[in-house]
Amino acid sequence: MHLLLFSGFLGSGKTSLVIPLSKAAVESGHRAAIIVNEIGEIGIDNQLMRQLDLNVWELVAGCICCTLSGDLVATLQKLDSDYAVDLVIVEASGAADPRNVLSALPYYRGRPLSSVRNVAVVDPLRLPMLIEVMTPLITSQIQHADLIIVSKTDLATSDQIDFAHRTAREINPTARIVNAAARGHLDAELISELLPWQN
Amino acid sequence: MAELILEPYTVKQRWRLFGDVGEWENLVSEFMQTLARRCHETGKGIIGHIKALALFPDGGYLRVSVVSPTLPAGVEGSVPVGCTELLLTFNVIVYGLGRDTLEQLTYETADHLTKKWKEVTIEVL
Repeated sequence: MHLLLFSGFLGSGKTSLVIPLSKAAVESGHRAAIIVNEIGEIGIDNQLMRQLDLNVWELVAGCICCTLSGDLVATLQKLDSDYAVDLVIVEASGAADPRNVLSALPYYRGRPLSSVRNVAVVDPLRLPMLIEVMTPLITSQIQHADLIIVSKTDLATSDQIDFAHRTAREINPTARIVNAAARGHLDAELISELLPWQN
Repeated sequence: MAELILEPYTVKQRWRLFGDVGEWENLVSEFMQTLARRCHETGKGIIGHIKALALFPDGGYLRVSVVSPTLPAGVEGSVPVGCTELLLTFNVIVYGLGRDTLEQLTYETADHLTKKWKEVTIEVL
């Protein structure tokens, strides 16, 4: 079972990436599940994903990096033991620190995870403001990623995209950084980057 | 890391359309953007995410997302032709504003826009 963790601040574009990625995995014949963690009493993203017939499990009214970390582990074990999925995409809440989410994984007792990737989604439109006022969270989300996706590149200016790349590179010198548009399909290169085991 | 305190407000509403005041996409977007502007103007709240899912009785959905008072709403999905009703669920997540304030601002936004539109009713479920 492969695990992809998507982190990124609220509204950064995680759901817009997770949905086509999950569809791509399913269309290539894999059993994929999404665990979506939302802030709020009622999940919005999970309702949308169900509308699209995706296999979604919701964790609401808490954060998987703290109060719901046990629920995350239990859900992973259920997906492994009862559904034998090939891929789990975890969409963390926008307030989640991925370091804490990753620290819960050693408590998972199912089949060994074949791979774990931590993807940070960065919104170039708001990064200058967010890095000022949410410095610890935004820094941690970028710092612990092994892939950084600069989202909404169809809406951002080249200066905004350049700033996002420079900032991400300063915080995380080793992660690969790629761009993704807010709308439309994920390009094949990004899908291959995220699902390299599917071929 | 210091904990990020957020007090989201979640609400379900039923919207009914009685005349030709515009497309559902534009109405829901205007609601969300007006709410974002009011949140921003009240105590300098920083918009985290205002996101909504509108479901139509005849199928179809709209997903509307606002992350800033100055950026346009992101809208995805499609509306069935001739649909006069929708069920809207939305989360308002604003850093710096508590749940009670968000509820009040949401109420005021609905009140303001239904008076402006005249032919739309918004019922909290």
